[in-house]
Amino acid sequence: MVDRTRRRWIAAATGALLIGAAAVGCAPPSDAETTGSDSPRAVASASVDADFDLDQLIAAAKKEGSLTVYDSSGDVVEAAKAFQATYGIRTTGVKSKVADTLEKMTRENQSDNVTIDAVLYEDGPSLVGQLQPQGIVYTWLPADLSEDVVSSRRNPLDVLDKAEVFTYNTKLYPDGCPIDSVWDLTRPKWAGKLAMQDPLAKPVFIEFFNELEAGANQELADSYHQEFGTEIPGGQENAAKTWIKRIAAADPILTTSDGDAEDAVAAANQTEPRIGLISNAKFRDVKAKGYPMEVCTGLDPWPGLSYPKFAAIASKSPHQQAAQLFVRFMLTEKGIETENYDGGTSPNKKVSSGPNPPGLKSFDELFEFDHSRLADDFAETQQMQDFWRANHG
Amino acid sequence: MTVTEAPTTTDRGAADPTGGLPGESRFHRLRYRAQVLRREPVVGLSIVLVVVLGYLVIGPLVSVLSDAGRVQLADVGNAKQSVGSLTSYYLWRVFRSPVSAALFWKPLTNTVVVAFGTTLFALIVGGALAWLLVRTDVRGRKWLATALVVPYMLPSWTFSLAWLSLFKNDRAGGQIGFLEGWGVHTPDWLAYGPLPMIICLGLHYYPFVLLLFGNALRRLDAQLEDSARILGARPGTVARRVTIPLMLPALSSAVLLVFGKVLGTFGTPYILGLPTNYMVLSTSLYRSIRNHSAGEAAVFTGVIVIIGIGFLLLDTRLVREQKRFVTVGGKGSMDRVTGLGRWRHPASAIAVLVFVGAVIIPLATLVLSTITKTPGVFNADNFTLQYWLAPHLTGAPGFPHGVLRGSDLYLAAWHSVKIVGTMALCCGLAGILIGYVVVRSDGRIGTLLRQISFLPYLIPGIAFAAASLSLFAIRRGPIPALYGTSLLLIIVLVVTHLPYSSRSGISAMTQLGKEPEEAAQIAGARWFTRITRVVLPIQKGPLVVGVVLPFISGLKELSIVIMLTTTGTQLLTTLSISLVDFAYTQMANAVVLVIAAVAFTSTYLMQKITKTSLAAGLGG
Repeated sequence: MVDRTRRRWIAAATGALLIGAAAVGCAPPSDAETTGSDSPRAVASASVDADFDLDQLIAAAKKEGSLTVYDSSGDVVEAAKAFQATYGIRTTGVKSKVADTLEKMTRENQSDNVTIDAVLYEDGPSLVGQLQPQGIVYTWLPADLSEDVVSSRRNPLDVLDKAEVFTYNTKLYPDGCPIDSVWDLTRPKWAGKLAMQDPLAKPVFIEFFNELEAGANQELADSYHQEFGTEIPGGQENAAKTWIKRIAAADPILTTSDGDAEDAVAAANQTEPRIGLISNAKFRDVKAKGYPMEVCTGLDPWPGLSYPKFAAIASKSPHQQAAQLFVRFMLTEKGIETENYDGGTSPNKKVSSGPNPPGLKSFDELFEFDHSRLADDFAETQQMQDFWRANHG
Repeated sequence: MTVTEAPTTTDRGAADPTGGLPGESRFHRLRYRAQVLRREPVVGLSIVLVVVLGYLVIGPLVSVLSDAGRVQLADVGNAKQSVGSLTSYYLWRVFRSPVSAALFWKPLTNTVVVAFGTTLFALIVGGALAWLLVRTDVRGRKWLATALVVPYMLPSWTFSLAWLSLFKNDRAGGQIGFLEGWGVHTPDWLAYGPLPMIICLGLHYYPFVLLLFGNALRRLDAQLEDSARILGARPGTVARRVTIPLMLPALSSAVLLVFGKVLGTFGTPYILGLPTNYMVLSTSLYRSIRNHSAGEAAVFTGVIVIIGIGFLLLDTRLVREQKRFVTVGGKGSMDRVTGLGRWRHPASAIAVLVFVGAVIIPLATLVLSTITKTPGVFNADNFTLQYWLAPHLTGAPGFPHGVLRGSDLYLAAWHSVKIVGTMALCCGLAGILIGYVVVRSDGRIGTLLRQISFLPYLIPGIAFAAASLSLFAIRRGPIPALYGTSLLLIIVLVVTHLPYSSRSGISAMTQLGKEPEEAAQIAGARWFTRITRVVLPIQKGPLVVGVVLPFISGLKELSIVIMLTTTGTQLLTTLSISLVDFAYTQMANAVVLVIAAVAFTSTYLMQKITKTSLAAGLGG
């Protein structure tokens, strides 16, 4: 008995040592091993059918009989209902977080047992970096609408632009937004006053930072000069990094949901001076809950960011035509109005935009993500997370 | 209960029957064993159980962990290796890279603090309450026994919600806290970080200790303590030499249950840690999964599982030492209630205080949040019942009426009860069976079964769900593709909730001597008859615990349900989550109250119907 016990303890200790050794022996990545061949940065293009015939598509879709669509917004339930009412195809809309959707679609694809036919997907980097290159989904542009869709939003195809906007409390600041530049937020006065979701659990903010670094250095450097009257230390090319670093160091109020960020700014009994970076959809509460909030009009260089919600079809879905018809439906007024009643623009020039939040005239004022950079955003996600982590402390 | 007159034997007689065989030849030995096997299907049963559970548990675990050693698509640029190739990149990143302090080491230290703190807290509260309720004449012990289990019926984040509503300061988002509203600035250490985590998690998990401990305490024969006392032992000696050693299996089960759960829980630590950046391992895991970083997530899962297994081994060792104590024989046992004398009122006050802190305050916060437009504002015009009753609600596009209107809530409740109920019944029976096999079979395979049946508990739910999905998405050998069926959901729920039942079953079976069953065997009863007519009736109490605990826990289950339902069949939890998104938080909280109500009502009914149960078990 003693012997066996001892042997077991020795085995356990050996196991622990092995794990320890693995941990100590693990090597940092070295350039020597680089294999450039399977770089994920090649972007698949949205497919367009040359001989497109809408009636044929509708007929084929009806024959397929049913459709399941996933989306990170609960609005998809209404979208599915509207689609079913229009075409008579039994449609289920399921709300699911992006990470869960990605996991499910990947595993369904690997096992050839696909239940998710189409997806409305907000995380561009993982769409372009993970789902497309593995052939799990493709994006598809209906030929009859291709002329109407803004060219910068065709590849990959998005169906809706959403926004995160800098927001203030109009009851506390009746004369307008207390800041006039995004650099104001890096001043000691505003330390601990910016409310936003945790960037390490909300991928769109990390993507935003990467997009800033790639395309907004000049604007941010100019804005810095405007605000402080001096050149940015470290030079222009680091303007975005400097801003991100200072925002992180200014210890923002991080929340687990958009609602909490919104409440921190504009809840009925709120008296703290705060700026929120929140979704445009939350402005429904201005009416519904009487929240006194407005977008920081004229904030330099932009009062927020807009980001796309893409539409993609599962490559192995048995309901290809129905899925395509659904994507087309979401490019029309009747489809997208189930999702943009709280704001947001369709890529279809002929479809009217949803209502803009008070203080914002048009989505054009916002910083816009570059669809062609998504693969790079994907590759740089971790570095940016680490950058945030290091400076947020 | 037909066996109370069974002959009393000491434990010596129950030794391994193969131990003192006269026949030396291999053939005789085999033949003898085959005969025993026929009469005692324990060995066959244990092999079947080990194989089935092995497939259902080890399969997903291996599938999760293997991601840690293979380059994921997202990390080709970071690891500088090609997709799928063998790598130590993730180990390096988590353990030794420049970010590993923030990613792993600090969270590890914090996890240790929170997990030990919570366990200690739960042991003290739960243990004291169990003793008060079972062994003393504390006032109102009958209803307290029921009421004090309620904290476990609330989702664990309810406690952090209540805590934040009371204590939060301007470091966190959301509505203003009560104290803050009255102009009191609470310090950060009180509002966030380890202290509130330990209290909130401790208040949520002490019912484990209360139930397991209480059950064991009740089954413990007071005559054993009396004998010690008659032989001249002091009360301290009795507790140290008799009571506590006999309680050890239940105690170590409870510790393992609390500790294991705390390791993998991310909701409460995330909400309470974020404002001051106090992160634990489960938060790191949650963030990795949110950021689609499977490799990193696998390493975190591995570490959490390994820590858990360490405790599991410790527990196994403790229990092996304890196996020789059998507390329920065929003999009549006695319950003894200690009069508290002048301590009766203070002791009752303490029990009521726990009830207020763990039940009334979180429930009241939740109820208030469903009937106020702005939480924490107590003007008459801020109160409303519209989130429950309104036929039409503006500003709630996806659910434009009160939760009690329409059929959604009732449909979701029915689905929940149906699926989770089926799961819980399976768990309960399997638990007793596992308990029986573990205790009656030869050491090694019993130990193995004991450990495998508990392993799912140590695997964080988010990681387990995804893995079982891939395991069952395609046909593998004789196992058909179950993906998309509610059968798969039930199977995975059974596996993940089995630990509660198997713990309860093992703990109870350890204390049941062989005598009652042997008596039945002598009277000619077959194995099946013995199980159904002797073992199950005696173990009715633990059986109920083994059904009720998985039921309550399953009602609150979210990540597995999300992963394994494909068409958006709403259960109560998923309904609550979608209400957060497209209606009012008030309505989401209302559904949480409904979950708690369903859990409580079902538990209560179960008690009434079976007449032996958590409450009866504790209250006498």
